[in-house]
Amino acid sequence: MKQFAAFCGTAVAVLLVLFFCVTAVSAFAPAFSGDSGTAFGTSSSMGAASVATGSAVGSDESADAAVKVAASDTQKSDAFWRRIDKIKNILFFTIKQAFFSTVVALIIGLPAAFFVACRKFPGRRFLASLSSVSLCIPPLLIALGYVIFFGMNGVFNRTVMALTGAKEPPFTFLYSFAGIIIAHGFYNFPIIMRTVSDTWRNLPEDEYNAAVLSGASKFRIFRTVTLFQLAPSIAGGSVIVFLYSFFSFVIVLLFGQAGGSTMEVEVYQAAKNTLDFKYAGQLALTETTAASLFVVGYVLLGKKGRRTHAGVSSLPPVRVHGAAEYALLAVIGGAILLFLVLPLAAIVFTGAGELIKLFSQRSFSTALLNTVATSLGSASLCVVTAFFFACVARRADPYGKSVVFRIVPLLPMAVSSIVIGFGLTNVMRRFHIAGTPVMLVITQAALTWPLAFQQVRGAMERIPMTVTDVASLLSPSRLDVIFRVQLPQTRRALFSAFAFCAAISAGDSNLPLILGIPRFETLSLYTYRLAGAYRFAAACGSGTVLIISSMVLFAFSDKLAGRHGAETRMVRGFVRSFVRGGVRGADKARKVWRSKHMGR
Amino acid sequence: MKARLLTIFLLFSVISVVFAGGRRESAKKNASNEVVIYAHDSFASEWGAGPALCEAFEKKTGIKVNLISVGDAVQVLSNAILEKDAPVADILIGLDNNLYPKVKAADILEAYKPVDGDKVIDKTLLMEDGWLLVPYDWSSFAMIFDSESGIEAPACLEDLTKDIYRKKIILMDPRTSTPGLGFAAWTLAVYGKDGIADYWRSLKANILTMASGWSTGYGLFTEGEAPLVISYTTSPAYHVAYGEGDKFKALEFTDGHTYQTEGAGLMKNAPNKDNAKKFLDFLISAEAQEIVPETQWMYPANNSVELPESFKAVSAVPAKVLTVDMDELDKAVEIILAVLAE
Repeated sequence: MKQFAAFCGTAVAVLLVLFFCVTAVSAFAPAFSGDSGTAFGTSSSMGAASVATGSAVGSDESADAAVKVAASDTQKSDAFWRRIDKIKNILFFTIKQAFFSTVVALIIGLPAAFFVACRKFPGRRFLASLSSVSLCIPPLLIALGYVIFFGMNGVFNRTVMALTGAKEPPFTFLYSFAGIIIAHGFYNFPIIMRTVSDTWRNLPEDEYNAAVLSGASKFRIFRTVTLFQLAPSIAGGSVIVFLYSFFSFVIVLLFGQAGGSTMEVEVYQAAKNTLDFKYAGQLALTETTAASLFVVGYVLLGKKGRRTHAGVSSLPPVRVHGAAEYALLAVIGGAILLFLVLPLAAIVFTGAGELIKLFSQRSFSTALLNTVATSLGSASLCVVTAFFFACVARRADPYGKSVVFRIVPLLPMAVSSIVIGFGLTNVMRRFHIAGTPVMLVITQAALTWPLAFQQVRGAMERIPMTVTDVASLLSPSRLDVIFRVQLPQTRRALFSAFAFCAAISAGDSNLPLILGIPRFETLSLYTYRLAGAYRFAAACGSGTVLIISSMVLFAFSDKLAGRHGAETRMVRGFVRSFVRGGVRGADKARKVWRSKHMGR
Repeated sequence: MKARLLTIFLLFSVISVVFAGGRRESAKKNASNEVVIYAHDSFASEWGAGPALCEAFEKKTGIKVNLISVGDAVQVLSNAILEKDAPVADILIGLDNNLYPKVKAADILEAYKPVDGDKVIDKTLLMEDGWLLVPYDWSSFAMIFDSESGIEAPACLEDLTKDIYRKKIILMDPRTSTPGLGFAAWTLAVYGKDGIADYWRSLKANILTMASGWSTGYGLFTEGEAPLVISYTTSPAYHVAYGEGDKFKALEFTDGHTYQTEGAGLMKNAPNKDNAKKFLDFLISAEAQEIVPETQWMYPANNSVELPESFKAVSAVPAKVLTVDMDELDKAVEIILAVLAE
């Protein structure tokens, strides 16, 4: 029985990783092959070449042969450079919007972190609870909420027009660059808020006190001491926000701005609409390379001695004081209310009346059932794989020193779901397999399991070495250690990771979109289709169901994780690996913990 | 405890996989008595012609229709191309005259002339006089204008570039949507391949958004996001039929208009070819075509069908019809996209 379970778990884990590698490779492969779209790739290059050859026909052929070849060669290299230029422009636009989105997130996130960490005020708990927004509410719903709330005829514009008597909607930012970065910025600021406030709350008192004693002003202390101490977590949070915005898909797709579009949207268009696979492959390769460079570069930079301070005595939060602080709090709070809370509330408000009608529709209940099935499936695969690799990591790297095990959890951040989906469709195309729901489950799991790994590994590390050592000495089989010690000890983390992955899977609309499985609709795809057809009320209703189920799952996940202390929390663990950036065993907190519990 | 937990998780994955896979199986089983149709959203959605047509067909023949909505018209085509060697669909619906060159090049369809095809369908609707696509509806492209928006109505394409229409025009992406491609073709017909870049350059600031499909764009328009949208001369009939009055007007431009014919195609190697042929026969029959005007909001292809009351609100078919140089259209779209990305 145990052997069988262990065998199955190993098989699942290994196959999933293999699957990931194969699909990733087949996403990039078309870039190097001559497979330039089956029927209607961008005919510009081919067309131009054939025009060049065509015009030469009829004149003296032998004399023209050389000219012809030269002409088509220049045409080809022309087309090549134009292609490079195009990709460069898209990449530039993608980086530009990601950069400014991060700036917006920082502008909101830093003051918010300050208030959450250092001040007491009514609404503090609410603000802190927003920190799960970026993970638990799918971006699709943010886009939907923004159109309902900030659209030309949205709640906000109508209210302002009614109040001021203006004839023209005063706020048109939504359909522009500003719309994208504001949506991204406010959607992702909670990541910055959470990482920075976690550090801020636990800053050691000593340096601050020393500065106060030497008579430094408050601002000077902030500038020279606090900011310096916060820098790693600010950078860590920014990297995540940057990458999330870099890979943003649904928001850009739904706002459909004339002109600028991101890498992710272009890969989708090329893979799904123009069927120019070579171009899609080139884009995917460029996108993934850029993101990987960013991640690796960050990890390498981060090696230079960064530490986190945990468990050290720190300043308790005090009341908000001074007019400046009140003003800042009002501005930040108002902005968050306006750009995040109200658009989301608008969805629930619009959708609530539609719920009963929705539940009586067969297409909706099918989509709901499909979502439950896929998210349960992919979450189970994630947890099994994560547990397997956590066991491996425990054996191979018991003290958390290996860079490999630090980098692995960051992998899904460098490869986007659109790229993986494109790779999978390539594989299916080659072997004439139609898309099936199983593939959706497997692909989602292949992208999400590292998140579960992060969590399970945290729990595994808390099992004292002595316990595992004794267990392996006393039990006849190595499997006993796994099944009688490691599995029961990490049970809570496993369930927590399970709920977490299920929620991620349920909210994901990218993979169902790009895989385009016939006769199969998940709830988020259903919502996307309704939103795309501007059946707003219905889209909001189905979106409300999605929000509520995600929130319940996350709350469940958080609660389970919470009993073990905050360290298992997903976002924090995730960010910490960024903040540490591959530092070899520099985690003071863990050492302290170990020395206490293991007498080392 | 022990192994139970891992077993539970494994069981979960097995169950869900079997569950998801099993449902597919059951769909496959009665393949002999069904016909599978890929259609674009505006046909397949519950407010389009699809559901009513399929129900009538099922009642009449007892053949089960599996209507699959795959997104925009271009995605209908691209999905079919991807499955070329092992087709899932028997019929593609929503391909139009502007997409026709690509349809022909893809070589995935087989010409089929439905019973009575010659009699009920005007020859002018056929593409290249052939039956590769069976026309089922048509209309002229036109800008639809909200006459209560308080701004002046444009009278030609050139007017659309005026400053008063800043951020007031909703268009669709020519790569994904047939009206989007139709508008691109319209500008190509009026300005030619040399003038098209300049036109779009001056139009750019006035475009509120390029929606991915007609449903999205027209939905934005009816939500009041902008007073101008690209659609068809027949679109106002919809608002009349739903008692929304006649504030939305189709504008006749002095440049002349291009038109769109939407057609259905029979897949080569279609798994249920006989059923598919029956469906195409049905599609152009008077019985089915009577459903078309008030669901697709286009003229029915069958010339014997009487137009419903709501179509009285539709202005006459534009006098001046423009033709488009199809060979240039692909390049024109590239030029337009390049201009927009500038």
